[in-house]
Amino acid sequence: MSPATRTTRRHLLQAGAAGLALGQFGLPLHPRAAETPPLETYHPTFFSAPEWAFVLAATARLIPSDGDGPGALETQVPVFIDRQLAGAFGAAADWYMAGPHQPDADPKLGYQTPLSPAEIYRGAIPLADAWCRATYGQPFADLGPDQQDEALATLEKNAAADTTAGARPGGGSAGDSGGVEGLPHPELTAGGAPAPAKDVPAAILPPELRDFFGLLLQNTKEGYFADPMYGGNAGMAAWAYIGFPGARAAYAEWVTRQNERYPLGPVSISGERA
Amino acid sequence: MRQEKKRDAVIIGLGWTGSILGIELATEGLDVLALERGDDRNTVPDFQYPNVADELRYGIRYGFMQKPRDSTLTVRRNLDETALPYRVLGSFLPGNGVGGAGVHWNGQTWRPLEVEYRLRSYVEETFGAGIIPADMQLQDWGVTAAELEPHLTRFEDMAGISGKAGNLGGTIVAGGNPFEAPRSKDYPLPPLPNTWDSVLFADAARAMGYHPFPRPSANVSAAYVNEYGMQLGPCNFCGFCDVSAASTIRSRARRPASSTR
Repeated sequence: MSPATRTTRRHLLQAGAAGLALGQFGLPLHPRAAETPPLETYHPTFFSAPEWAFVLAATARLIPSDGDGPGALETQVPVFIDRQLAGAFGAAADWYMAGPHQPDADPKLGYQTPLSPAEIYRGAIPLADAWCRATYGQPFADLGPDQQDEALATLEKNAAADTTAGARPGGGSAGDSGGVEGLPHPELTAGGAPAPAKDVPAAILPPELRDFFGLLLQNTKEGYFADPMYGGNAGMAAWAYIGFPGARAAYAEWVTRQNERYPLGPVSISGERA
Repeated sequence: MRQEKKRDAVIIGLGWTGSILGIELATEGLDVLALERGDDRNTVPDFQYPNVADELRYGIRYGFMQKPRDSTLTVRRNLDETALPYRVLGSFLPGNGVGGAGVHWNGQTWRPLEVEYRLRSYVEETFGAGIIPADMQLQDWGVTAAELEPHLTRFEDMAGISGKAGNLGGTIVAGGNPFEAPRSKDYPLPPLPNTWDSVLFADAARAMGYHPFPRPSANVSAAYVNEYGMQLGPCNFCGFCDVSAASTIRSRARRPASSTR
């Protein structure tokens, strides 16, 4: 609740109106979504400064702000991702993570890396930034939108046409990619990937990190649409945009009111309204 | 080591089957112990609204399912492959806790068709015995639709299944499934009302000469008390079935069973 609303309500109560229904005075009976502090003031729990810059820039391309609806930045998707990676999801707390591991298995056999999602972000972002530097001369966050889209598309395929000498951070030139000290399995990165055959495009990420783009896209969508209690979907803007009424979860009387527009906006699990 | 007193029966796993077994054995006077490795669960608070409408926690992170970290299995697609662990849930979702997979069961409750009970015989009679390869394990069930009918009826009555009979004792009933095996009585509850998309689909199918009928559903259409005294709440069309297929479904038989512990 904003300070202004609180003041108004306190004045009302002081005026002896406590016994009257607040709704009669036009005050909301349910709190409206609290003003979310701006993204610039958020201090990431999990991400380092360069990682945070990458995630801000990447999510802004996955759900851009210049389309019809709100973008990933207005809805604070990066905050969601930071909190998820700092918690049980980031640690793969529910997943079977014991060996034996075969990270280069057919992707159809699912998640097979020894690394948790947090470890994948930590390991992959420096390699992706190194690839961007080698290819474009700048880290991802400093590229223009077109180059960022191209870089993300390359990350999605995890295969880059090897047009630039030394543009293989996952391969021979990994020594200068730096920034992977946080990776708990350093042997998996620099030099860990087999040198690609001559005609095979170089992979940006070794097999242990190949799920990075999939995780980034998945977490971006989750942060956009999950309940705002998780840090994204700020102000329920994503729900309002697609006409999703949120956690109302009771439509029995609407089943027979067919083809009629549902008039109510979203409500969050904590009872806030957009 | 903890020593439990000797029991007449120990049930391992308190899902649908274990719960029904538990209450039936207890009703017969046996001393029953039910073991369940997952959490105990109650309609409130475990499935209460609006918390259960949390798609990230339950629909995406599978908060009601077994955790592969606790136990999982390996998968291979043919005999030449090395099987690999199923590390992250997705392709199939083992249930967890008291109520088991009933928590996320989608509630469709079909009876088998008559020919399914005697599928090998049916195929041989219809297409000739030579059509079934020697290594195809096609079998008759060894039990007929008529023999199982009273038990299916009791299950439907216990679970408050909502639907519309299409074959009452051999008489085809308009509006139900005309292809079903003869049943001794109608469902205990009428079908759920059709949503707009179902209305359009049914109209189109009927116009083409087909026989659309409401799907028998364990998401019940009205408040209901079953033979074990369990109260079932009606489906409120919450829209979060995939998250926790209705709190009404899971509690049908579990409380009497677990109260025998």
